[in-house]
Amino acid sequence: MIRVLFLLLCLTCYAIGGTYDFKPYTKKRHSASEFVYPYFELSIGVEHSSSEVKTESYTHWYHDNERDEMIYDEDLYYDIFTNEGVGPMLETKIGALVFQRGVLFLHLGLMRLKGTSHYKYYSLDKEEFKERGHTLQIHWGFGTKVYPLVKLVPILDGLFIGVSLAFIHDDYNWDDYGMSYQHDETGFKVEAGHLWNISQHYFVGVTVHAANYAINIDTSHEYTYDTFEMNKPPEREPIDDSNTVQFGIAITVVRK
Amino acid sequence: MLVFSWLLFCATSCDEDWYTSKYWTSVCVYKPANVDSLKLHITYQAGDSIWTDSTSQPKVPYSYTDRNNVCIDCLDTCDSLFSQGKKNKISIDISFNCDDKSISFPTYVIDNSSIHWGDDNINYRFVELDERNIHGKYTVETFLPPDDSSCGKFVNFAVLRLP
Repeated sequence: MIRVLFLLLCLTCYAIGGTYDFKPYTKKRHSASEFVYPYFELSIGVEHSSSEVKTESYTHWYHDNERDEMIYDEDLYYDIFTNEGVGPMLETKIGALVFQRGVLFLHLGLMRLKGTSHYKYYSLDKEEFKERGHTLQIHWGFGTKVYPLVKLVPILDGLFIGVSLAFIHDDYNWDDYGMSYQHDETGFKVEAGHLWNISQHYFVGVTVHAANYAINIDTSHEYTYDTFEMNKPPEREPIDDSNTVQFGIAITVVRK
Repeated sequence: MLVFSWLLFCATSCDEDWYTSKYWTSVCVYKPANVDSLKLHITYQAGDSIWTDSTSQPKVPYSYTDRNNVCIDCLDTCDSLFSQGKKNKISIDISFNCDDKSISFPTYVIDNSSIHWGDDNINYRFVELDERNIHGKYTVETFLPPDDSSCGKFVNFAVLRLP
């Protein structure tokens, strides 16, 4: 009897199993090219840049040459440099678009600023040196930007925001005035804008951006020891954390 | 070679004056541009014991100078003077020469009551103060303009103490 029941159970299982069409399981493999795409961006626009750097006095004693007397000033600074300029900028970004929303990129830019640089030895000095002219600045770095509303809000499909770590090299004539500041600065750059597609892969839009840079290290001179010496620049840190502030607007073309 | 190495080692590392002196002093005066020459005279005093030393431009023996400054270091003598535990005092007299004129600065005095007389801390520089052109650590003690301004007012002639 038990053998008969076991036989019926086996036949039932076979009958049920035969009603389904079993297919062997195959895991679908995704390649990186399905969600990572090459990204290229070119921006041409106008940039405004303002720089300031100064060093706080250690002694706070100032020699007023005109009155030939010493003045103690708690707010005394020396090696004061300011610059303000406007000019054209060109920037490229090369990177990868991930999941249609995020971009990881390297950027390289160039700007030519026309403006005036001011050099002053001490903050209480009446004498100030001015230089009008062009300044060439190169910046580079890496960062990310996102298109947060892609496929969510059609009218804002091309909206983006981005941030990057950036480095600039500038050619101010600090050395000519005995100011021992570095010519390299590090900072952050933020940007926002909107793109409109003109074909399947090409987009055109507007980008606004702002950047804030600080001098990398205190001075451009390196000292191996700290002995007392005359006619040698002091090794002290400049007072400004934010040396250069830039903002601009550009026409942006993207291929993604 | 072994002997040479030993001599070289001792020449650089076994300078007993600097190595064993508990008390030593170093005073330098930097010459302003509009001054022709200068003279530095120092009197060291510990109780009743007195020792003097002076130097000027051009260079005199037992002092070192360069084109812009004169210095006097006091090693063994000051160690023996100031380790007696008596009242210590250093008087510094500076004079400038310019265009056949000579001016003297007020005597600058350092003694037990004015500073802590510890190890390796009598280290002074006399300079025209322009912070942009002075490297190193220092504190401004005072300004020492001369009474006679025929060589210049030297209002920025400062006494700097080095750590």
